[in-house]
Amino acid sequence: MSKETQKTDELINQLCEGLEENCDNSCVIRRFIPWAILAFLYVVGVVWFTGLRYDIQDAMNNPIFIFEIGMALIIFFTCALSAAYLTLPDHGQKIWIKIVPLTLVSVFVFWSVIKGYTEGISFPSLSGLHCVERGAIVEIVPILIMLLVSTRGHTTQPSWLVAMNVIAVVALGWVGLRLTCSMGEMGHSYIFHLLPFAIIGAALSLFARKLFKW
Amino acid sequence: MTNNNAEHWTELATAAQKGDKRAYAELLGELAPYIRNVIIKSLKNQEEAEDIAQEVLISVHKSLHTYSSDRPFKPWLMSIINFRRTDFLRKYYSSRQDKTISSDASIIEENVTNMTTSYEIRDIEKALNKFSADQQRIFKMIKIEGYTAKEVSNEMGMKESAVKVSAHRTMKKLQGMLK
Repeated sequence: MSKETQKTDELINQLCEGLEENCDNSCVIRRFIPWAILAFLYVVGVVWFTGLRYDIQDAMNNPIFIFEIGMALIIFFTCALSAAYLTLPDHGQKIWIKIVPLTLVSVFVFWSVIKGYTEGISFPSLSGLHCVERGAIVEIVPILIMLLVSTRGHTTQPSWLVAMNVIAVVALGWVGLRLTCSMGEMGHSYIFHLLPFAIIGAALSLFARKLFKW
Repeated sequence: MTNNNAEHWTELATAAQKGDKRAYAELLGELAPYIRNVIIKSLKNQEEAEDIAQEVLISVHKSLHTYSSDRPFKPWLMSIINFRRTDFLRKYYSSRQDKTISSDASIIEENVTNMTTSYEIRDIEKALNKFSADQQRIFKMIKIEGYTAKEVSNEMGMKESAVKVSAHRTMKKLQGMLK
């Protein structure tokens, strides 16, 4: 028996000594649902506190607006669920966890590009900066909770996990901002609703390995 | 590994999750050689393979609660093995980035005991200087520093095939020049 193999045997003995009963059984749904409900309620609370947009009734009668909000909510839900599965080493052996959210995101991006093309995209005025502040209020708590929940997992794909966390929270933030901000131009939405948080997300992904080290 | 083994591992892992230390010892004992065999295929260094195998065992221990018996055991294990192996290779290659081989004649004279070899090295250096900077760099990285063609292509923003061709041609020309 080589020295290294002997060390492995010693390690196995130590690990066996440290074994504790644990029947968690990787139920990601249990981890996912409380977070998703909390994040959703938090955004509802922020929207309630800051006040709905003045033309909310008109907006709610607009099928395009309903589609936009619906899509963003579905993206939030699927990305959050995907992030929950990504906290498992084998991501629950679910093959859809990247395909479905990314397809939905692609559809949303495609739709917003078409919308921007038909309506025209102009560089927004700086008066929309308040949306960045509001966006930060809407998104900071959910992303922190989500990252905290994710660090308790054992991911083997940290970059994807960060990406899914960020997309989920940005989608939720998008819903919150569209319900409070009446400026519907795509230029404004891209620059003030999306860009700052996309940059923060990209910066976070640089630390993904350290963030989810286990 | 047969399906029977995989089913056996599933049973052992489920028992270990309930706190059965004997089942856990049996599981880890059976996993260790399997993990070692998987890793040794991509890493020729036995010691490093053993180190990674130990890290995989620790990771299996840490994440045992994330395994569910309604899913096959092997993909769960393989994802951990691949993760740890990639982690090791990333660290290994990043630590190699700052290593350079000095071609300083005084260092060669001080450290190379066989002076004939040192003259040969200087001859190669001299011949190599006749090539373009890119050709020299590719040759040095692949033939001296031991980088793969893919790594060099990423580093230099070139196609992998172009890197291979360049290294091969430089080698052939050098052989011709040093005959």
